Amino acid sequence: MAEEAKNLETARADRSVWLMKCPTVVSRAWQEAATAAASSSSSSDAAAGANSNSNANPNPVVAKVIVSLDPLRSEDQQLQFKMEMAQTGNGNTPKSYSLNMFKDFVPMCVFSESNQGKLSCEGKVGHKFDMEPHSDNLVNYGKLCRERTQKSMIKNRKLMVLANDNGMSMRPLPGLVGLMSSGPKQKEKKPLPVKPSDMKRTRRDRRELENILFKLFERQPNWSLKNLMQETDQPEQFLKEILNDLCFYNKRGPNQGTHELKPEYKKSTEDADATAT
Amino acid sequence: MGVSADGLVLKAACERCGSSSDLHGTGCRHATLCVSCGSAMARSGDCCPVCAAPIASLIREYNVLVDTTGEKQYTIGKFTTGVPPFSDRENAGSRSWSLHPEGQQGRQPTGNIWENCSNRKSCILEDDTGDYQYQGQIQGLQSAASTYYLLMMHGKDVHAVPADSWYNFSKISQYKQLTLEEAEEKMSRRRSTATGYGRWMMKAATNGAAAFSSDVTQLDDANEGETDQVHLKKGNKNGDENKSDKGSGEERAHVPMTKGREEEGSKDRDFDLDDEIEKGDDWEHEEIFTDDDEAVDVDPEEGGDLADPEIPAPPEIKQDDNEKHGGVGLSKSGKELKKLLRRAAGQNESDDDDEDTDEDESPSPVLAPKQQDQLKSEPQEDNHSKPTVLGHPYSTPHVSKSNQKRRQRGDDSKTCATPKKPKIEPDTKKIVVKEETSCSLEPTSEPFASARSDTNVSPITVEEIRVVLRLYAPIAMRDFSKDFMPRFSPRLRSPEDREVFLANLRKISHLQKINGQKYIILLEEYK
Repeated sequence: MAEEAKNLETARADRSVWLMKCPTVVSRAWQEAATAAASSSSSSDAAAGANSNSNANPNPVVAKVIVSLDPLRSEDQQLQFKMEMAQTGNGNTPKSYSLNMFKDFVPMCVFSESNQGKLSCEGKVGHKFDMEPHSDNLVNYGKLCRERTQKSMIKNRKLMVLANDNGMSMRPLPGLVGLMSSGPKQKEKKPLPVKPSDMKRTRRDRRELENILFKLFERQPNWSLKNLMQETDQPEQFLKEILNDLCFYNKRGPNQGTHELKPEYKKSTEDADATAT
Repeated sequence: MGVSADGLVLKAACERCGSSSDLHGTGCRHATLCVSCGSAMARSGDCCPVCAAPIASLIREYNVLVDTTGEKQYTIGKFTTGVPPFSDRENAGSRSWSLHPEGQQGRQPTGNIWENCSNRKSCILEDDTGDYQYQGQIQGLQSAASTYYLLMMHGKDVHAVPADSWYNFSKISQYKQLTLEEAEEKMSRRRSTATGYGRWMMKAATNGAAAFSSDVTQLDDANEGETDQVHLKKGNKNGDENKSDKGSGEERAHVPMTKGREEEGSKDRDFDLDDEIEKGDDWEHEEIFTDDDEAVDVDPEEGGDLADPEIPAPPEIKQDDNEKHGGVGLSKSGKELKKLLRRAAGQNESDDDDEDTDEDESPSPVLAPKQQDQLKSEPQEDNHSKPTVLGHPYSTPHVSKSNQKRRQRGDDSKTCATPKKPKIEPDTKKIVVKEETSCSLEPTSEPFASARSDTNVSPITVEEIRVVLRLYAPIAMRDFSKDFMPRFSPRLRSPEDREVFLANLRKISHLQKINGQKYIILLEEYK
């Protein structure tokens, strides 16, 4: 276990540490100060190594904490904390903040680890603070807020009035519409003559059609449906009905797919001829 | 003191009372007072001697320095159940705390421990004695919205350091570390349980050597001595604990008691199984013997049948009776044996059926069916003998017998010329039925024989159809499929023949409707 886990140094475990929540503006300023101080300290070391004052305090002073005690108030409200920032040159940024202390918070400890890997407990969190601008800076803070409002009111878009408003470029020319519509009209005309020919077919009298069929079968014993339609010029369904009565369909044999007159009707024609003679 | 010119400069002592403790400056920063003097002056309404302003507050100032070295990374650990006692003052003896990432106990940690913890999102903080153990889980890192700074006092200045990450530490439930006395108590409890074990052994051991029992008694003596020492050392509380321990020992002893009983039962079962196996072997020996007897008897029967068919029947009946008596005698030995005997009796019954079939077959004059029946009776015998071969040491003679039977089958199959082999089963009823069926088969064979003899390869000609149509015309369509087609069906084997036949039929005849029915009429050309 000794090799696996690192020993925790607890010499400074009893110290009291303040935990403070910083606004973004303050944290940025402090980070900039830290980086600037680091660079300046390195340059100063390079320039002159004998400056003991600069080496004594390499960390810059960024703020000042003022603890004020009001003896006339009750003991609970005696202590007040105030933090004043160093002069950083920002225009209307508030320079003093009041630290509000929380009374109830979760017990916390502070651990630290150095670059060499040493662990140590730096202390307990004794007080927890929240920062807000102090009342002394109300005027400047008001100015800052007013500036923000004015910035937000600046408009990025503007309305423009069109100079060319006569309407020539706002709608297409009527001539183009006419040219576009000429094409489909020509196409539509072509299929028209086909339709009336289809509609002209009308049913003849049943007996008349039967006589026509008998004459056709005298010429040729076998007829296909298509050929009969061409010869008689009758609707397909009507023609089929009559053929079912007069003829039978050859499904097989040399006359496959053709209609042939029934023997009953063949004899009747012969009888008719005989009677005529 | 102060770096800046505006800084408050406190004097060495209080201006009023001269004390050097709890020094504060006035609000106007002109005078230096202690807390008690300041409060007194405020209540009395005194003023500052320099600017004559009323004293309203006492102040102190500290410079805030930002850490630029960056040597250390700071982490905040939350302890919901309270901060552990890290400092030495609160503890009698000093403790060393250690921190390591979880899941890495088997290895040596490399790099920054917090980084390892953050990668695994958990680490363990523990004490060397084991009294305190905490498991830390990462809660969150520094975010842009809010940053936390830690202010620590260094002399008269305050150092501000940003906090990198937050961890939630929760206490881990753990077992207590025992002192020497507590360990001894637990060991004594274990010894008391050992006494229970000894008792169980005494009760459970029905079979064993005397030396084993003597060893058990020695253990009991040793345990009793130890328990007496424990009684002497401890007071009433210890006595109560011992009683509870004894009770637990007794409870524990019951379980092995039941186990012992189960073991005894299993042992008895094993013995029963051995007995069953032995008896089964004997029984199967008898079965094998019966098979040999049957095999020997069948051959002379066949010879005898040729000379005298009636004489060999009686000895078979006698053998059956002998076997039945043997079964009855064996059934008396026990209930479990009766079951096996019933199974064997079933087999005997099947054997009887086989022999009955032999008797029935002997009077029949035809020789071929006899051979068939014999062929099929033999495989049944093989079926009976097969299960015995699996678990028996007498597998070799069975194999040889089966080989002999296979050879016999081959010879018989070669001699048989008839294509059909009716299946005969051991039941007598079925045998009778089969005989009837064999009689009925004879008349059906005649038409097939005639059909085979009269088959012609040539297709049906037009003249043949014309002759039939002259005789039977006109033929109704419903009669066509019933009477007309069957006349030519024996010659219409393939669909090609049918097509030719129908084509010829169409040439000669045509369909005509007479009185609402269709008739096939021969054309005048072919009349």
